Formats: sequence, structure tokens, C-alpha cells
Amino acid sequence: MPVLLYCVAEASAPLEGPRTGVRGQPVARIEHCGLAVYLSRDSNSDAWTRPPVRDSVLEFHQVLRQLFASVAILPFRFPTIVAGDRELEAHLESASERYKHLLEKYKTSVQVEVLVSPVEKPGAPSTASGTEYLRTRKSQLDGLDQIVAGLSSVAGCAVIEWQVRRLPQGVRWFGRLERDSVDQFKAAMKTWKLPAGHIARVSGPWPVTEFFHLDPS
Amino acid sequence: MSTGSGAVVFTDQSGGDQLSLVDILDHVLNQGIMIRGNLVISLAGVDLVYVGLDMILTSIETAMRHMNPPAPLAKK
Repeated sequence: MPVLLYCVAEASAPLEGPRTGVRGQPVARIEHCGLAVYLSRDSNSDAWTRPPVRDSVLEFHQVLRQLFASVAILPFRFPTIVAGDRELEAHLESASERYKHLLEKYKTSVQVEVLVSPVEKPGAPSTASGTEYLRTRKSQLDGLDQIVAGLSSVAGCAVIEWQVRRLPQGVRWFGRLERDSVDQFKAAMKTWKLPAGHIARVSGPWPVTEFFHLDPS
Repeated sequence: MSTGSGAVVFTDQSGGDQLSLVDILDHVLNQGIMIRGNLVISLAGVDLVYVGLDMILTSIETAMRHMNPPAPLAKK
């Protein structure tokens, strides 16, 4: 029977997790290779991705959120569906050591994120000149670099490590911190003097997915 | 560079508004373990998956439009 995978956790993870998952299916917990896996089973796997898909994504997220509130998890991307329990067990047998290593290493860590973008659309041409456009764009990027430096400085007391990814609409800053430092981080963000003309969205805590590569290949 | 008047917004993870929905979609769809190979079965053929993802991407684009606050109204 097809199995929808939510996440992997240490075997010490709660026996009583979320009861219902995507499309109201029961959430089951199995243990294999010293790991706990949370999943749903349904003979009709199409139901999990049937429109409106947004609802399925939110239901999936709620399962992860409830578990992550108390333990470290390695979430699967939605939708990760395997043909059955045997296939899942085979996967765990090949990947369990890596998963255990990651869960142990990031056991007490969480991830926070800040998306910084100019209020004005990045690179929006305000003049007809291509040269002016490039100048404007470079100025915006330089400004974002300065902002990231300031952000990292302000958040530094709470953050173990951080990294930045540049996006078309701005920059995305990822911080890894101890689970009990989230309030300290948010308090620091409230003191942050963000330069005029920019908006920053702070989110988290999330599972620490940005600081390791989970693709077993 | 002037400082101090940019907007810092804290989003929750309820999915109840467009901003938090964007964050959730990004995390659920783009971050986490990805199993490759024969373990992943197709859902009624690959087409259905692609249809689903296209719909999600459309929602993201819609949500992203709401991320940028509207330009201030000109004073008359």
C-alpha cells in the first residue's frame, strides 16, 4: 500500500504524535533501524495530491509542526510517496546512519530565516538607460550586502552559524541557533535598524534543512 | 545609507495569511529529504504530479505578489 512520508526522527521521538495528516488520513509511526518515521498509508495515493493541493501542503506542514515543537526532525519533501513499508524499510537500511548522524548533530538546533527585499522592485528600471539600470541594480545589491552584514551582527549573539542565499527579489538569510535561543533572536531582531526602503520578513523556527544536504545521492 | 525606518515583519507558521503560506509552501516543497529512484512511485502517472505542482507554483506566484507592500498613496 502506498505510503506518504512526513519525517524521520530519533527513536525516542513521541509515541503519540499527530493523529491525522494529509486528507484526514491517520498518521502512523513506525520504528526501523533505530529511527522513527511518521507516515500515512492509503491505497489511493492520488488523494494526497488531488486539488486543492494547497490544503494537502498545509496539512502536511501541521504534522511536521506538531512534531518539531518537541523533537528534531528530518522532514521529507511533499509529496514523498513510496510503494509500501518494505520499500521504506529498504530506504532506511541504506540511509539510517546518515539520518542518525544528522539528527544527533542538529538535535537541539533550529533554523530561522530573514528575507530582505527592497520595497521597490529589485532592478526596476527607473530610467531608459541600460547603464543606469545596471548602476541601480548594483547599488541595490551593495545595499543588501550591507544589510546582511548588519543583520548578522545584530543576530550574532544568538546564532551558531548563518548563511545567505541571493534571490531575484532580495536576499534570504538563514541562521542556525539553539532551540532555546529563539526568543533571544527575535528580541534582537526587534532592535535591528533596517535601512529605509526595505522590508524584512522574519520566520521560524524551522527544522534545520538549510545547513545540510539531505539528498542521499 | 539611512537606517532605521525599514519594516521588519514577523510571520507565524499558521498558513492563515499569504506571507506565512509562502514560507510554508517553500519549506514543504523545496526543503527536506528527497528520495530518488524506484522508491518513489508515480501518482497515476507523472502527469498528475506535475499538474499538482503547477497549481502550487501558481499559488506561490500569487502569494508573492502580496509580499511587496503596496506603494504609498500620493498625497493630494
